[in-house]
Formats: sequence, C-alpha cells, structure tokens
Amino acid sequence: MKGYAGKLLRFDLSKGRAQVQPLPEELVRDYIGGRGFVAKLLWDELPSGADPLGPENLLIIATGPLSGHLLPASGKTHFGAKSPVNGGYADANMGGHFGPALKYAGFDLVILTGRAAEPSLLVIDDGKVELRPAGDRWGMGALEAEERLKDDLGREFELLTIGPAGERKVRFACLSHDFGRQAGRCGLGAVLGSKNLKALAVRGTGSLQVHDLKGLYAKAKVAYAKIKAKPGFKGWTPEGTAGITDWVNQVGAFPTRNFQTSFFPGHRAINGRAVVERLKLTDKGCFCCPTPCGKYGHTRTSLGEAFVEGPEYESIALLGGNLELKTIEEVGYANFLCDQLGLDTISAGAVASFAMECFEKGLITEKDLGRKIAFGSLSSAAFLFDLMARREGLGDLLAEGVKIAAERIGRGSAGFAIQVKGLEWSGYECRNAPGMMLSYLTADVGAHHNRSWALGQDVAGSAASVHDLITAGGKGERMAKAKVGGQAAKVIELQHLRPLFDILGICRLQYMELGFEVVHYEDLFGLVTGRKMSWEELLKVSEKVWHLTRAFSVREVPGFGRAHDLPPARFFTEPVPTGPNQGHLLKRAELERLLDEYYAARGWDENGLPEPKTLEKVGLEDVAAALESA
Amino acid sequence: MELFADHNLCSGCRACLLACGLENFGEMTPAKAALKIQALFPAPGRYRVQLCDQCGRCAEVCPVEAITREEGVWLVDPEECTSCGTCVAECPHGVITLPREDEPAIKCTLCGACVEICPRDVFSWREGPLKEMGQ
Amino acid sequence: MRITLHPDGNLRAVLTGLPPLIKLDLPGPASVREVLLRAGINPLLVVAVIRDGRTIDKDSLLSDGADLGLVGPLSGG
Repeated sequence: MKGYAGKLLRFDLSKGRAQVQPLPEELVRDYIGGRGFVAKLLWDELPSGADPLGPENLLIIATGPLSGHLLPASGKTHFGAKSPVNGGYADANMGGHFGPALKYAGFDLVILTGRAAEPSLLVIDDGKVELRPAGDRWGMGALEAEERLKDDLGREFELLTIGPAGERKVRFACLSHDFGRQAGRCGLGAVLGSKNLKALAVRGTGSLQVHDLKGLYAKAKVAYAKIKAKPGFKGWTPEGTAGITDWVNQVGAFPTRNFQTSFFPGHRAINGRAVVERLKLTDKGCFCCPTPCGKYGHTRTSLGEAFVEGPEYESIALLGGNLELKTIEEVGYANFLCDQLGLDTISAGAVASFAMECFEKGLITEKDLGRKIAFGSLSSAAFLFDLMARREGLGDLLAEGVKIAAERIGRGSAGFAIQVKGLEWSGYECRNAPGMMLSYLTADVGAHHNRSWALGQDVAGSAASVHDLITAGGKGERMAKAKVGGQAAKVIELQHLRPLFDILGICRLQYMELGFEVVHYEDLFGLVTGRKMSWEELLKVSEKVWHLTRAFSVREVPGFGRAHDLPPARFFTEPVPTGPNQGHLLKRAELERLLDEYYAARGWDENGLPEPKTLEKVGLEDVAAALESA
Repeated sequence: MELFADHNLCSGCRACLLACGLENFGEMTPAKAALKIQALFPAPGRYRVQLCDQCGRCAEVCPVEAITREEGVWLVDPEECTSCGTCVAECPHGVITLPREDEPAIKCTLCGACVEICPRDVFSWREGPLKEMGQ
Repeated sequence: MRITLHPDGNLRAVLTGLPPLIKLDLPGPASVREVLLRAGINPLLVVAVIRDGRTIDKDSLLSDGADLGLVGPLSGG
C-alpha cells in the first residue's frame, strides 16, 4: 500500500495495551484515508448508544495517503469520535506536523478506546508505544504542557495536548498542537479528557513507501513552483485568512454582538492588516505548506501579554465582532486565553457572547456570576473563559454549550443560542445568505463552515447589479435580498469537494484560496499511491462519506432529523438591525424551502433521513439495512 | 560557494528536510537530512535553520579520516565511514547525523535541493573563502 | 490607459463567464473601483486587489500599465 505507513495502532487505555495491525486493505480501497477512515470506523466499531464522554467512545486519529509526503500541503490530520456536543457524528481537522510524525513512526491510524486509570501520556517513538503517567502535567495549560513535554521528551517530538478545559470535559474543549494549532470543534478535547489522556507525543524517523518516488519528487517541484506563481501567493499569505475580515463586513455577514447584527463598525481595527502590523512576528505553517497561514505573534493588553498564533479569521469573527472587542491586541489575547485553556475559540466566543446577552437581558445576574459582564470587555471574556474551563459556578452550565445552557436558563434564550445540532455557529452571519445558511444547517457536525462555504454565491446573488452600482456611485452599500431557492446543488457540490481534502490528508487552502488546480492532486495521488483515481472518482468517495456520517447521526441521536437542521429563532424572527444587510432575515418558510430542496437533491426523505435506495446507490447497502432494521 | 539561510523567512514547513533525503538517498523521510529546523516556540516565536557551513570539524575528529574536502565541500566517504558517531557529537551545528545505525554518516554536500524546493526562498548561495579545517 | 486584470478562480466561480484575463483601455486616472465597474465586475465580489504582490485599496488610483490580480470570495479557516 504505497503512500501509507501501513499500520493501524489500537490502544486500549483501560488495559494500557497496544495492538498493532496492518492497515486494512478494504478500508483503504473503499475509504482512502483521513475523514473516510473516521466515518467508516465510527459506523463499524462505535458501540451504539455509547456515552461520548465514557470509556466506550473511540477517539480516532487518521492521516491520509498524501499526509507526510513532499507535496503541498501535507500536514493535515483528521480526528473523530461520537460527538460530546450532540451524540452524533463529530470530527475536526488539524494542521501542523502531528500526522506526518505518526506516519513516519509507522502508523496511518490510531484508535483510542477505554479510559486510563490515571492521568496519562501516550508516547509513540517510532515503533515503540508506551502509556506513561502524566499526573504532574494534569492541570497545565495546553500550550504549557506542550512546552514541558517537549523539554522532557525531546523537542523533535510532536505533541497533541489538552488544557484544563479538556480535563474538565467542557463540551467545546479542543485538541492542541504546535503552540497554536487545534482540532477545534466538537469538543474532542473533552473526549481525550474523559479518557484521562493529557497528551500524545510522537516521534517518527522512518521512511514512507512511494509508488513513483522520482516522479513524485519532480511533480512536487512543479507543484510548488506553480503555487508560487499564483497571484494569491504573495497577496494572500501575509495576512492569511484574517485578510477577509473587511470583506465579510462589507457584505454584511460578520458575526457581531452574539449575532444580533452582521456588521462591526470597528472591523478595520481587527482586520488582517492589524494582525500583520501590530502582532505578527512569523508566518508559521504546516508540514510542507508553501502558504503558511499561521500568524504567530505577540500581544500586549491591560490584562497581560502573550505569544499567540493568530488570530485567524474565525477567531477575529467570534472573539472580535461577536464580543465587540475593539483592538487586535485584545482579540489576540482572548485567542491566547482560549489556546492555553484548551477551548475552541469559535464556541468559546459564541458561549461568552450568549452569556453577555443573557446578562444584558437580566436572565443571568451579577449574583449568579460573581461580577458584571459586558460586550466589549476583555476582562469579561477572560473571566467567562476561565469560569467555563474550570466548570466553576455558572461556568459549569456554560461549559455545556449554548444549546444546553439556554434549555436550562429558558425565558426565550434559546432564540439567541446561536447553534445548530448543539455546535455553536462559526464566522458567517446568514440572514441574507441562503446558500451559506443551508450550509450551516446541513453540515454534519453542526453549525460549521468547513464543509460547504457558499457565501460567494450568496453575495453574487444579492449584490447590486453593476449598472445600479455605476448609477449609485459605485459603493453599493445596501445589499438586496438574496433569492431563496436553487442553492442546494452548489452546497452539495461543496460538501463533497471540501471534505475530500480531509480524506486525502492535505490542506484545501491552496486549491480553494489560490486556485491550485485539481488535476495536480489527481497526479499526486497516483504518484504516491500507484492508484489511478480521477478527481470525480475521489469525489464519489467523499459523497459516500457524507451519507455515512448522516446515517451515523441517525443511528445514534434519538429523533434525529429535520428538527436538528434548524437554526435559532433569531435568524428567522429578527431582521438584521444594522449594516449592509439591514432589514433582512430568512423566514421560517424560506428555511423550510431550503431544506426541502436540499433533502430532495440528496435523496433523503422529508425528515432528512437518507432513503435506503440512496444509501444503496452510493455503496452503503449494509448501512441501509442496519437503519431499516433499527 | 556557501549555503546561506534567512531564518526570518522560514515557516517551519520542513520541505527542505524531505528534499534532502529524496535528492541524496531516494527516500521519503525527514530523518536523512543534512540540515535541521529548530522551532523556537513559544518564545521568541520563530524558526532557525541549522546549516552545514563546511567548517570541517567533522573531518578533524573523524578517527578513520573518512571525511575529505573536494572543491570546498567536506564529503563523507561511505566506504570508509564506520558509523562511530564521533562527528555527530562534535558538529557545532548538529547537522551531521546518523539516522540509521548501520549506514554512513550524512552531511551536507551542497547539492542545492533545499534551495530549489523551499517555497519561502529561505536559502541562497553566497561566495565565501575556503575555511581552514575546524574554523 | 491600459489596465490588465486577472480574476482568480474564486471570482470566476461566482461570475461565471468572466475570462481569466481582461485587458481594458480607458481614460486615466481611474480608481480600482471604477476599473472594476468598467469591466462589469461588482466590486463587492472582489475580496482583495493585488498589485506587485501587495493588496491595494479599491479607491487607489491606477496608472497606465497597471496589472492587477483580483481575488474572489474565499473562506476563512
């Protein structure tokens, strides 16, 4: 199996026992790698009904066939488990150097089960696997733990750590790596914490088998040269994803004040230029990446100073606009606090903003919290992050995420608990973006933009015609209402395309942001693995995985269906109050229409459950049978 | 000719390590690289590239005289090398390595694979005088 | 003056039919915004304008021979 390391490591943390197996050929043949492995293994091996924070949950770590090889940008690792957020399908993707180290240590795939008897560290040193006590590191920040463990073991080890938030099973605790990278979403840090595992450390010095080594080396040189020649190479890289901050505001899609509105007047103080001019020290990237999107820098605020990787766009959106923090220094510091505590910045920002709005409305009080909190206050944000990470006082409820917190708090707060399927909404406000709204409603893990990103099509649909702009003077500030209907096909296409990179184990940014063509990925796949698959054939695998993750959620979440694909009432009852999309919202009937079209195009029934013949068509006959007999 | 690295441009991608192994050994591994990338995090928050500067200290200490200079480049003779590791211990930059016990030591031959592959243009060539052995 | 535009894949994905290379002749001086409108491109769909490897403002004035990369809507991470 060229391109792969060839081995699967199963580690039973309860027994402290490793089992090394050959990487199953049918798994490779039918699911290729990364997210494909995660989806298939969860379906096959997760004991139905398992508690996501119990010993029966699996934590799967999956590289792809292209991970670790000399090609752009091969540093991605995929993680998955039964979701602590909603009991359905959960995954998260992470850049850096962890996956490559695993492959060079000889493993494509790691499956963790059980629960260690004491706080532990799993060390994978080439072929040697050992569970060691980590009690003296329990309680440490995620960044601090990485630093200490690198000192202990050797700086060449790659680390995956959790912070206090993961240890306390906060439902939006993340996995951390390389001083600023995360597998952020879905609370996978809580899964590791529930298994009493503080960290994994990997060192790999082996070699990878490549089908056509000379050909791959030559192709790699061409690939890097082509990427360097793209206009976006010099234009995009310095600011990274933060570079879209101004634009998202101009099109009225920027989360502001707990998604009350979608334009932040102070956006220029927290945009990509602000990151570069005021914080950035180093462009920091992943394994073999030519366009390092990480902006590692230093920030100083009245609360303290820190080194931080970021903030990238999502953190600017959810910690900046959404909490109304006014300076990039404050956003950077809030980002650092989350990184050290081991909290996903997106969810932490959304939970904090929810708490701030509850406070404004008197639904939680100074007595409940121990102090006042407010939008625009870094100290409020810092206080909330700490409270949630430690599950202290009201933090224990907030640590459950906005959906559960709103259920407990009641009094209409569910209307502004900005989530789908219990996962807090990421960085795009969608009351005038039907394609992006549909993307968020139907993303398999919950409200996340990583699957389909359709905002460009939405803006093209609602942006004033060029003629209108010319007559109006060219600055077209107010957006017309985007037409609702016809979004399904594009969303579905993107839901196969973007996650395909998670299957292959590489980054999608060079393709999505710089336009590096897919034919190169076809070539690279063939050169590495010896397997001739067209991009269309690879997309078919991704399509199959899409239905499989949906089926997993159907199986595991009682009553799963359309009701789980709906947004909070804010989006269909409150028109946007300010900014380019002032006055717009998507009515409930429009949302239902979006879902109707989507389900029909997907071959799912009106409740959003995959039809048996659809599952059979994509090669999931056994899944269809299992769901029918359930 | 001397190999020069601008540390400030390095993003830590390690493509250079893989290119070195591919060019010189036809292997896909970061372990057979004649240079090193140091990640200085959390502080000062940047990368440092450790390069061979052809100082010749390895040759000076080699007990079997397996390392000799040809046109300004110190090269390991794979037939003579006994993999004793003395050069590894003595290299001031930590860039001569013995990743595989039974194979000869690996050092930079100034092949330029890193210069060619680096997407950040970290590496360049410079004119420099021939160093005295051990300088 | 002659202005050359290179709309990227993301821009052409939302403005189907837009060619990858556009050459315009128009009286100068003109702002980026005016040039985009002249080319039939809604400035709202251009996330960034790149000249000589640097992003420039849409109100920047252009001179003859300007060669611009146009970045369409692209997602953040």
